[in-house]
Amino acid sequence: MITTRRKLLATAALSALPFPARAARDFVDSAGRRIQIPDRIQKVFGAGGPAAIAIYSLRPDVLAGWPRPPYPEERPYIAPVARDLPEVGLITGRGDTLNLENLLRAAPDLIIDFGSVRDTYVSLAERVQERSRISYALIDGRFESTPKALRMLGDLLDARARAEELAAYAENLFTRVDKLLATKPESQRPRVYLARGPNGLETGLKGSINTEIIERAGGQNVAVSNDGRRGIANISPEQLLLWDPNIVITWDRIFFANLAQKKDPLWQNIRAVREGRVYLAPTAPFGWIDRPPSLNRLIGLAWLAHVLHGADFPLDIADEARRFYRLFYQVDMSEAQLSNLLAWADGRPPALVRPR
Amino acid sequence: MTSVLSPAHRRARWLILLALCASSAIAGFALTVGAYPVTTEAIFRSLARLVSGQEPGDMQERVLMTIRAPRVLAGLLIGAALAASGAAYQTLFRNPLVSPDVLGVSAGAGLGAVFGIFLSLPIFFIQLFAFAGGLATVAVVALIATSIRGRDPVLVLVLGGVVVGALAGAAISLIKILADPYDQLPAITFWLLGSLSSIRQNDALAILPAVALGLVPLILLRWRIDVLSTGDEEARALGLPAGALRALVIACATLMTASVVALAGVIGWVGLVIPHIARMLVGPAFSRLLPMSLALGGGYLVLVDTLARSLARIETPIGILTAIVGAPFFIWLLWRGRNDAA
Amino acid sequence: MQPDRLLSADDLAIGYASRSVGRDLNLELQAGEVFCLLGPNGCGKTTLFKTLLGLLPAQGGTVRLRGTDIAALSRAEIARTLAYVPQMQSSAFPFTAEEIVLMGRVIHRPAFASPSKEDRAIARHALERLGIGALAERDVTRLSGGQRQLVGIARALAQQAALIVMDEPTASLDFGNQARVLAEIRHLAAQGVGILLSTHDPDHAFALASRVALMKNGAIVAQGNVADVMQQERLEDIYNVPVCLANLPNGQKICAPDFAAMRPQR
Repeated sequence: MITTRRKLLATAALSALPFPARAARDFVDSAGRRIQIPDRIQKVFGAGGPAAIAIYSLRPDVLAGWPRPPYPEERPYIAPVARDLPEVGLITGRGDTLNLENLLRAAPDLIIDFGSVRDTYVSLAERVQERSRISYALIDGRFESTPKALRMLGDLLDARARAEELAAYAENLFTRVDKLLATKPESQRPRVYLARGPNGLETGLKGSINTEIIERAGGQNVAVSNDGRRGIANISPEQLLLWDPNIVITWDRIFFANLAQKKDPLWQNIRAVREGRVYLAPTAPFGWIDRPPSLNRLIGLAWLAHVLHGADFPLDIADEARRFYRLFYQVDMSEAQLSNLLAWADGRPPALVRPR
Repeated sequence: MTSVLSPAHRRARWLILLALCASSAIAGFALTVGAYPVTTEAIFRSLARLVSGQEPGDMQERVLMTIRAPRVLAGLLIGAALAASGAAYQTLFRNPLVSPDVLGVSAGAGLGAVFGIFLSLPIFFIQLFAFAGGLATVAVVALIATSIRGRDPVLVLVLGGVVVGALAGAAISLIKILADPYDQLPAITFWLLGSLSSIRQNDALAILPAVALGLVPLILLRWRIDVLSTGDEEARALGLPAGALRALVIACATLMTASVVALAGVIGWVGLVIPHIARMLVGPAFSRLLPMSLALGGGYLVLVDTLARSLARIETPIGILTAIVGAPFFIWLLWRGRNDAA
Repeated sequence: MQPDRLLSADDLAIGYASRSVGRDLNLELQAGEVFCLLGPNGCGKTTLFKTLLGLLPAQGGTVRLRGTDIAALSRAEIARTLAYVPQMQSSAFPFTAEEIVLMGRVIHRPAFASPSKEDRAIARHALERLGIGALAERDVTRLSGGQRQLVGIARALAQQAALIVMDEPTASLDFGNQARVLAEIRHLAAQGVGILLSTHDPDHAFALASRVALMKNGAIVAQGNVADVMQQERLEDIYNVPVCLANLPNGQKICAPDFAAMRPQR
């Protein structure tokens, strides 16, 4: 039924191109661009993973689809209305997996990108908007500006009350963490390494969007580049030994399982491994500490601050997870689902199944 | 008439010896360079422990014996194997400008590894997939070449390699699009650029049998490989079963390339440039070209890898550095040979 | 089976699976003789040679080497009896002349060997027999065409085969180099080296051969002693131009186009 209606709408929209006559209002996005927003928003396209999660958190009913279909283990943690949405691809600039004609056929009322608002993305937005005649909003996705971004999105998506609720949660969490950080001088913050990839030697450098949660949660990212590089990098085992982190976090289950088997002498030399301070972040329905860098990191922030500082940041993780999942993902976890998730965060993840 | 060795030949012997010494010196130097501070004294202590079969004592020794030395040894082995298979391929295809991946072994190994990463397999299986992918690709090329008769077999092989390599490249791109952009895509990118950063203690030992299996026939057949370089018809007229011999040499070179690519990813240019330099130094005869390539290749790769791990705290993928060094050298070769009738 | 019958072709058909080049070819060579295959360009000389050498499969009939079908022999067995000097001596790599000549020794040594001291002596000797001992250490890619051709012949000598097969050894050489290469071949022939060569120039047949076969359009139109076969009418037939045969003052016989009898073809 819904699909039929959408098809009808799409056909109507297509026939009305290039200038669909809609009641509209003005909106100024995070990049300072003034765009026209249709009055009634029924379908919104996320330019990438972070945007899709942001849209889903505020208005799951208008999300057009996911960049990739959710894995089976992720599905139970996604609200039924969005669980079966189609795969719609990404808008990333070069090598888009999204066909502009498909975008036009889907006829969303709005495209949102949530993340960087640098010039590259501004020009990309302008280009797509010009060619598709669909308004394209850029929202600043830095972790620090989450409350502001939520309110902006609420305004954009006609979900101001809900946005206020979520923003309040984020602000409250930030305040709690800020109180903790005020008591922790730089020297007392644990040195953290984010291990990525099957051998753990991939990491996000300090200053990259992939690791900003480490600093936010009161840790020091050991992966500091001395040549100004940021982003994802490969490092040598020697460098890792030299950094000798107190804490290793990862979401890679194969790497985590290998570490647990204590087969690799390299990792046995790392303080965090010797002291048993290796932590696995859950990735359902989205990553807790990254993957992608979006609102999903809020629960990760609470968890990580507790992991790093223990009793100094008291946390009932069951309560927090239940609250966050209900608030942001609109799922009421069953006891089984919740305990699975908590076991995962405790280093006992579900088996890795990746059917395609 | 009385002397067995010509002056050029004797000079080549000295040069090979010199290259071996230089490579050893580079390897020794590489042991002293690295992110973790290690004293020269610790190097000798580790050596003593190694000789007496003791476990490493302090952290410095552990870094040397479990991280740095294995990596340097693997670098020697990988560089030597790539250069040797490059020398074999160049001689075989009568073209000084071909590289070990002319028959698609790197592309195939890349595809295998990328597929392994895509399936989120453990590292061992990723390497196994890479190895199998490299061998399978060359087998497909050989199959194509043998099923097309009545054309220059060498030309058909090379063109088959280009076509199959391009197909593998397309398949890699396809997997990249399907891969998880957060977990798998960076891993794929790093793997395709090649790196020795994840070499572990026994990795070099693990591929040693395969490399030796490929290298020994090349050493034994050194003279016949020279004859093969005169072309199919002449080699047959000189009494050699050229087709069978060529298949054997391809199998050996492929085995070596596939094993090192499985371990360290795709490292370009070494197999192209090193045999070229070796030939300039000691001439084309395989009995001298092979040892020279082995010596230079090992030293060169260790040198570049030392740069890769010491330029910055963050590893520079070695494939990038070999290209940065190799490409200008190649242009220089072209420039130098522009008025050369040969 | 006559022991001196070295190489023979019986009702041989030559060519490729998709294209026949010649058929019903019969030839017989004795050990130690110099045999010349004469014919215009494109008549099938090279294809015939490659078939005789077993490099191309016969499309019909048989080639026999000392009485045995060549298809049943290994490359090494063939190479012990037949050496080949291809038309174009090309080397992709700067081997020295000595290294090239040494390649002729490869069947005489075990599979995993390097050239021995004896091989080097044989290679030097072969180079010296052709008067190019001084080129031994030179890079073949920098030698002249004539020198390269002599290096190729030296390699065939080093192979110590009963018969050397030379495909147009003088092709693409200039006047002087042609003469020098021919003189060396004559010299070898005088020493009893068996030679089968092809040429498109009747003068070379006069200069070298004891026996000759004339080839036209993939067929052998005559064979026998030079004096019997190289008749004016036959030569005019295969080259399709009027020719003049003459004896030079030194007794050498030559053949030249009879320009006076030719009218420009329009």
